[in-house]
Parts: sequence; structure tokens; C-alpha cells
Amino acid sequence: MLVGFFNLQMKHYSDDKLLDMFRDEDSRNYAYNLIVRKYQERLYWHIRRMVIVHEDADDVVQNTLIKAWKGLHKFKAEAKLYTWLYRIATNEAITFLNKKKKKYLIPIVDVEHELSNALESDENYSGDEIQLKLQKAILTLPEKQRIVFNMKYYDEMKYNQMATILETSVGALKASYHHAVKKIEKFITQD
Amino acid sequence: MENKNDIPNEIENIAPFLSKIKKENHFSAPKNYFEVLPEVMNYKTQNISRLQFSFDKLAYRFLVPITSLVVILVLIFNWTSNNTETELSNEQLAELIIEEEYLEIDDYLVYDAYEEIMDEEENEIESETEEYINYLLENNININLIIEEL
Repeated sequence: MLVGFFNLQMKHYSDDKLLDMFRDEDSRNYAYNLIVRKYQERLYWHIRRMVIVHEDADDVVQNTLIKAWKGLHKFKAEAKLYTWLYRIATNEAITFLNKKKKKYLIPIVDVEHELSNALESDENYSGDEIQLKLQKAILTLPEKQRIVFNMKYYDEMKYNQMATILETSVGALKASYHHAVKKIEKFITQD
Repeated sequence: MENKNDIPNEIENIAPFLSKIKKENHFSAPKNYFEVLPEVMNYKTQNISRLQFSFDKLAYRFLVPITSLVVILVLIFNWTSNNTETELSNEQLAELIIEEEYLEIDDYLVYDAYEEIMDEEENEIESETEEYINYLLENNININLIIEEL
């Protein structure tokens, strides 16, 4: 019932209104709570597709939301709130994966292999064989290319929005996505 | 302008097998995860605020007064160091007198300096004379005989 109440509030308030409420010290906590509820799922799934394991995704999404808390008072409405949050989440996920590589002193290929194994044994993953193969194919992509693919394929984002988040040109993103799709196609069609 | 329908069409042309795979999310989150997460974030951000507040309080109560005290002490130390008078020896004073262009000295200071120097010389002479007399007496030498010979 409480969730329903908050959902109603989220639909009622626009991002601008939520930001105004956040800037007011009296309503800051309430506004932040609403922002978290509004965007938590999208942020979580974006991160989860990157880091695969739920516990890791949980850490990264919390880091993302803490950074959002600290930076919201400086946020200027030049970009959309979700774009800004998405960018933080992307950077946090990349940072997490880089730390993982350094922690175990293993090259990128092995990290992706590790994630692939985690995917197979993850009880929170319920895909069939072909879906599993697709996820493994995605994991063979370089980090940035994987982000581009996920954003385009799963989140169905427009290239312009992706360009703002990733600070890359639309042309580069189109090329990156094109290559990613071809690599995945080759992976899933081979025996 | 991009159209959402362009995405599957784009894939169909270059990846026909991929385009046939259902776009589903087979990952799952633990039960009630998204109900609990906002509360977790609420708790964590309150701790951040509290820590920030404590630091501000600490800064105001302790750091500012301590810093002010240190600054005052440093200023006092510098001030007292600059005001300490250094005494010149008689030789230094004599040099200064000779090189008057570097330092202006009052006349009475000059007189005092010379008087001291002259007193010292006189004392030196007196002590030398006493030494001679003592020598003569110890060695039982008649000074009148020395004067006659000269």
C-alpha cells in the first residue's frame, strides 16, 4: 500500500518539481525517496546487465544513488535527470569492472569468462539455452561496446540520448552498435 | 528522426538470427528488493548528512578557535622577535662611528663609546704597569739602577 502511495506521488511530480523539492531542505529527503523509487529499476537493470551478479549490481546501484544524492544540488536541468543518473550508473559499472580486473590481476577476457560462468550458475537467471548463449555473446564484447548494445537493444534508447550519456558522437555509436550486432550474430550462430 | 521500429529492422538486416530471439529479461532481483532499496538509501544518505553536520560542528567549535589561537601566537612571536634590541660591542660601535654613512649616532653615544674604550685602555695599561712592578719586586730588581743605566 505504501508502494502504491509512492507510485502515485511519482506519477504526479515531474523531474523539475522533484528537483525543486530536493533543493528545499525541508522536503529533500522526501524528494530523494521519490526519485529513487522512480528510477531505481531502470538503473538497476542497466547495471545488472553489465555486472551480471545481483550482489554486485546492488553495490553499484547503491553507489550510484549515493553519488546522485551528493550531486543533485549541483545538477542543472540542461540535461534530463534520467540521462544524468544513467551516466553515473554507467561510470560506476565501468569502475566496478575495472576494479575487479585489478583486484584479481586478470585481463579483461578472463573477467568476462568469470561473468559468463556466474551467469550459468546464477539462480536469479532463468533464461533458456538460446537466451544464455545471447548473454554470453554479449559478454564477449568490449566493455563500451557492451554498454552501447545494451542501451540500444534492451533499453531502446535513441542515439542522441546515448551520445549525451556516453559523450560520444552518434556516428561512432551507430558504428559500435553495428559491429556489436554482427559479432553477437556470429557467436550465437556458431556451434 | 529515429523510430523505435527502426531498431528491430536494423537488426533484421544484419543479424537475422538475433532478430528472431525474444527480447526478454531473464535476470531477476530478490523478492521485495525494490521496496527495500529506497529505505536503505534513505538510511545511508542520512548518515552522510549526519557525518557532514558533525564535521561542520566540529570545525566551528574547535578548529576555528584553535586556528585563531595559533595565528595570534605566531603574530605575537614575530612581533616580539622584531622588537628585541641587539647590543653592539664597542668595536662594532667604533666601526659604525667610522662609517657614519650607514648609521646615525647621537654625539653622546659616541662620547660614551670612546670613554669606555679609553677606560679599557687605561685599565689595560694599569694592569701592565702592575705586572712590571710585581716582576721587579719579585726579582728584587732596583728600578733606579735601570733608570741610571738608561
